Amino acid sequence: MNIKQQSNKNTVLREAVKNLIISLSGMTEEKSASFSSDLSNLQSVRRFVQEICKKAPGDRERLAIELQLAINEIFCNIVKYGYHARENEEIVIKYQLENDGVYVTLWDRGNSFRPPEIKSPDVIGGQERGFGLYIIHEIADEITYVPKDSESQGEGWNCTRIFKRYFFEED
Amino acid sequence: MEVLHQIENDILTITPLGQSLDAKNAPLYKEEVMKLIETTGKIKLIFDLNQLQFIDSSGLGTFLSVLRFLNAKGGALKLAHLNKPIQTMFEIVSMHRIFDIFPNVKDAINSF
Repeated sequence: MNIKQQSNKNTVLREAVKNLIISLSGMTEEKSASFSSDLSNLQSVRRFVQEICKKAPGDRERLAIELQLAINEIFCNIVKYGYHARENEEIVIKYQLENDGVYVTLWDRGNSFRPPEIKSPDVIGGQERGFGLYIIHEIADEITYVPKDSESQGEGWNCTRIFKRYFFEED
Repeated sequence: MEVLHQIENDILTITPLGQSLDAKNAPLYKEEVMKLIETTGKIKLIFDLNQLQFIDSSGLGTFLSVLRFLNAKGGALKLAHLNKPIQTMFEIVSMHRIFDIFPNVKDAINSF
């Protein structure tokens, strides 16, 4: 067997192992947790995300680092701008493990907001705030925001949903 | 957040003892750091981040704020011993281009 054939064989083998991991990883598992809109809960929120990532295939450590960052920022935005720092409101976080990645959805009843245009933070020019949305958009492979007053949403809940692909060796 | 500090060769080194610097504790952390800068009168500062495992945008904002304050006074801020999650965060927002980062405190001290 020459080097090229060996390389092709390795690729096929890697793909088969990846598919096997996905099929054994408990796909389309769904769970949710409810938190009060208090920044003291950030640690618990990150722990919840960590638990989600333990069930995912691929590089769980990298997935956990990035997903914790993104969900932490979304949670902070809801507390600060949705609920205006009122601490006893509700934020529900739900996750769904799929074949190729994980959906994490945050529901809240706070004020809806129109997401501003995302720009790279101007750290050289003196910016010290406003990195949160940029971080979320850098990390998420897909992001959707449906305000509670939209026709499709209803029932008084804003919905922020992100999708993050799993990290496999060849990524 | 509790912090340790020490002074060596006219350089103030501050070590945050918590594992997280986030929107909850960043304002208080900034207050403590500014108080230490004021009471010691030092404008060469190192943050030893060996215990820190998580930082969010509020924590980054605190670092930037301290950096600007020291630069305006002719001083400098250096960061040492970043764990992997902190490095990832810095790379996402390109902070590794803004801060002088060193693998350990000794290298950071020698860089002044």
